[in-house]
Amino acid sequence: MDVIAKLVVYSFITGSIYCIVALGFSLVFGVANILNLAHGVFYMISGYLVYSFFVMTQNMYTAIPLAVIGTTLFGALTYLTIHTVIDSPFKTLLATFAIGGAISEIIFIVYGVSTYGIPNIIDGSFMILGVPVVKQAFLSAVLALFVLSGFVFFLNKTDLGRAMRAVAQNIEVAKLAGININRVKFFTVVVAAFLASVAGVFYLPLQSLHPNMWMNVTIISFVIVVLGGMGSIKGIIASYIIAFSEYATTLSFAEGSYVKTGVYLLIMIIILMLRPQGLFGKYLGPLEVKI
Amino acid sequence: MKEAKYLGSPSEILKKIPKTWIFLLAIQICIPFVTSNPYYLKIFVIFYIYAIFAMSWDLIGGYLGIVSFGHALFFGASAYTTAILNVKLNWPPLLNFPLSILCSLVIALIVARPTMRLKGHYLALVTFAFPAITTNIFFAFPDFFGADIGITGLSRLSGSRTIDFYVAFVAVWSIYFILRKIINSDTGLILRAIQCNEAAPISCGIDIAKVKLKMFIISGMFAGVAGFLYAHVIRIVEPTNLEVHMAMQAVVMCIIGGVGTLSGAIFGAVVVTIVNEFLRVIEQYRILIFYLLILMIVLFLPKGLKWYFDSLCSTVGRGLKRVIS
Repeated sequence: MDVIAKLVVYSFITGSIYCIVALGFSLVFGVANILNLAHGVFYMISGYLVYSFFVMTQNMYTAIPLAVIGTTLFGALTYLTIHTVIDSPFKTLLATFAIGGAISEIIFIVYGVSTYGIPNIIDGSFMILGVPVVKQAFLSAVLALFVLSGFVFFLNKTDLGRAMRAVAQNIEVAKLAGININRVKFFTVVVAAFLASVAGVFYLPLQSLHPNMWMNVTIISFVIVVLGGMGSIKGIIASYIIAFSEYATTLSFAEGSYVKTGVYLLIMIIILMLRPQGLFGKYLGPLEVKI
Repeated sequence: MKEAKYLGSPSEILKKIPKTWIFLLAIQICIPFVTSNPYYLKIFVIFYIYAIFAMSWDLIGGYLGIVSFGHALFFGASAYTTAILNVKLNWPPLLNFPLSILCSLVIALIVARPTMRLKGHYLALVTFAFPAITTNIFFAFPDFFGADIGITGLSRLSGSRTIDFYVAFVAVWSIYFILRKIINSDTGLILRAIQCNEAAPISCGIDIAKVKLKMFIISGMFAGVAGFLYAHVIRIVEPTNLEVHMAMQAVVMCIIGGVGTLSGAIFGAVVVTIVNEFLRVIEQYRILIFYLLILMIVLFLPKGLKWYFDSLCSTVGRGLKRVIS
C-alpha cells in the first residue's frame, strides 16, 4: 500500500513537470513541424542560468526571472539559426542535434563535468497520503499545472494562440487567412523555450545538473508525444504514464534506474507498432505516419 | 537461363577500369612500403573502417532516404560479439568474424520490423531508441558487458600493422565495389525511386517493403564488418561505440561528402579522420568543433564539401587545359 501511494504521488509530481516540457516539444512539432532535438537544452540551460545568476546576485527571486528570460531568448536564437532549413526534416534534425551537442559541450567546458546543486526556494517537506514530499517538488508541480492552464487559455483566447492552432491544423488555409506563418513559428519556439525553462528553474534544484542530460529530456518528450498522439493537447496526459513507468521500474528492482530509459522506449516502440497515431491522436492511415 | 555476358579477356577488362582508379588503388597499395610507422598505418586503417561505416549508412540514408541515427547499433553489436567471444572464450578473430556479422544481421532484422513502417521524423527518432535500449541492457548486466568501461584486451587482428592495413584495404574496396554494383543495377534504380516517391514503384508492382528490408540488412551487415575491424584494431569496445555520437560520425561523413554518393562517403571519411587527428592537439574543444562543423555544413553548404571540391577541381582543370593548349 505504501509503495502504491509513493508511486502515485511521485509520478503525479514528475508527470506534471514532464507535462509542460513535452507540451512545448509537441507544440513545436505540431505547429512549426520542427522536431526540435535541442528541446532538452532549453530545460538544461535554464538550470545552469539560474545557478549562474544565483552565484552573481545571491538571490533566487531575481535569478529565476532572469533565467527564464535568458532561456526564452536562447529559444528565439535557436529558431533564427535553423529557420532556413526547417523545410527538410533531415536537416532540421541534424541542425538541432548539432546545436544541442555544441551547447552541451560549451557547458562542459565552462562548468566542467561536476554536478551543481541549485538552492531550493522553500526548504522542508510535508506528508501527502503518508508519503514524504519535498515542498519544492510540490511547488514546482503546482506551478507547472498553473502554467499549463494558463497556456490552454492562451491557446484558446488570444490571437497568437488561435493563429498557432490554425497553422497546426492547415497551413495553407492559415496562409490564406493572412497569418504570418514565420512569425507564428518563431513565437511557437519561443513559447516552448519558456515552458521548458519554467519546468527547469523549479524542478532542477531537485535533480543533479550535468551537461549530458539534454538528450534524455528530449527523448522523454518525444516518447510522451508519440504515446499521447500528435497534435492533441489531451495526449499530454501520457506524461503521467511515462512518469509512472519510470518510478515503477526504479522501485521494483535494483538496476531500475539504469533500465528505466529502456522501459519507456520499449513502450514507445510497441505503441508505434500497434497504434501509430498514439492513444489520443487521430487515425492517420495504415502505413503512413504523418511526417 | 540467362547467358553470362562476355566481359572480354583480362587485359580488355583492365582497360575498362578508369585510369584514376588504378592510380588511386596503386598509391594505397604502396603505402606500407613507403612508411612502416605503426601510427600512420593505424590512421589509415581507422580511415578505412570509417569509410566502410559511412558507406553502409549511405546505402540506406542517402539512397533509400531512411535517415537512421541508430546505425552504430550494428557496428557496436558486431564489435561486442567479437569482443565477448574473444576475451571470454579466447576464440580467434577469424572464427568470430561470421558470428559477429550474423549478430548484426539478426539485430538489423529486429530493428527493421518496427521502423520500416514509419517515415520522416518518427523514423529518425525511433532509430534513436534502439541503441539507448541496448546500452540500458549493457548497464543492467555489468559483469557480462563491462558497463561503462566496456571490454578491453582483445587480441590483434593479425600480427603486424601491415597485414591489418591490407585486410582493411581489401575490405573497404570490395565493399565499395559491391555497393556500387548494387546501386548501378536495377535495384539501385528502385532505391532512388522509393526515395523520390514511394507510390511510383508500388504502382509498378514492386514490393518495396521487401527491397527496404533487404537493403537495411545489407547495410547492417557492412556496418558489422566495420565494427568487427574496429574492435580488433582499437582493441577496446565501449558502450560509446554504439551510441548516437558514433552514428552521427557516419551521418557527418556522408554530409561532408554529399549524401547519396558512395565516393562522397569516402571523401567524408578522409576529412573526418584528418580533422580528428589534427584536433587531438586541442582535445578539449574537439567535439565542440565537430558539432559546429555539422551545423555550418547543414546551414551553409547543403551539397556537401565534395561537390564544391569537385567543381573547384574541374575549374582548375579547365584552366590548366586552356593554359596548355
